[in-house]
Amino acid sequence: MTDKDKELIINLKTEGKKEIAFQLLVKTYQQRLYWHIRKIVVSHDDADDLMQNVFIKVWKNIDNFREDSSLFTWLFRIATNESLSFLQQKKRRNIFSVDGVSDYLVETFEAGAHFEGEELQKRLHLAVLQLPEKQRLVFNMKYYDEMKYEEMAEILKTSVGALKASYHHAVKKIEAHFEGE
Amino acid sequence: MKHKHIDMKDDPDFPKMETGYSVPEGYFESFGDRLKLRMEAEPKVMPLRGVLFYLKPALGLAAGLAILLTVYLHPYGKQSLLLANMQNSAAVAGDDQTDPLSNTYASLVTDGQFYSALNEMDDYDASKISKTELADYLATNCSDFEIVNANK
Repeated sequence: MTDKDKELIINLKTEGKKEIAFQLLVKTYQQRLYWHIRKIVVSHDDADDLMQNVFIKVWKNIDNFREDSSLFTWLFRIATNESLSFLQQKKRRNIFSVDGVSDYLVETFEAGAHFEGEELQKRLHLAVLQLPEKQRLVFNMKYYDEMKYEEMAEILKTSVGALKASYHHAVKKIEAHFEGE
Repeated sequence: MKHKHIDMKDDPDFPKMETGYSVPEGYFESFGDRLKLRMEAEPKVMPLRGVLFYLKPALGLAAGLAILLTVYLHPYGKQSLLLANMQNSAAVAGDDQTDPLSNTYASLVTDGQFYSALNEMDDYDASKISKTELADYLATNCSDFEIVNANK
């Protein structure tokens, strides 16, 4: 953990300094968290709601943060769990069918709000959105966010080997998707 | 606003590219303020530790009552409670014998009556008691042993 993060955590746990430290935390991590959430849920409005939820959870639970992982890992874990829970809730409410998370995400993406990418970017997204949940998540974190497998393993609480396998399968499926177009 | 990734490296398996996603103008600049507004609007929830602190006495009382009821309603509990009651009755009866004032005269006299009796005694003139009256009182109310010890 960086010295800056350590100081930030101390201040977040200190009455009287908590609010200013929290503002700094939001400023520091909002963009990275937003793009991580956005890639999972696709919609900007959902990503905005979820990011607010994440920061509210951080505010309420900072005293329970045991510091056995970095602040970055902790934040990303909350953001990932929050985003995946959101998709699970939608699934449970039958907004889309059991296998339809991908369909829902593709529909949301094709609605086209807040997307200014080129055709190739769009095609890649459409291929990624059709991957199973875990492969989609791993691909996004590795390919777009360029995260190390070790960091991803800490966030997702899984092994590096499993992540490498997931990424490999994801790449193969995307390649097959492009070839089949 | 486009999402720009820093240090885009070439991947041997796959060429890197940006997401193409965008956000409304000024979104990140205003996010902190909107978050603050939402947090202020959130209903204040008392932390669990706080709730437990306030509920502890009530929970303790409820647990105590539950234990008493369990003991009282349990068939074996009833027997032991009956035995305990009998023992208590015996103890109370014994107490009555050793402390006759506990529920007799003393308990019937109010503080007001007690102090008015003391005032009446203040009015009493000890010099008016004759030696004969004193000797009669002692002869009827005290033993010889008490009189001898009182003079020591």
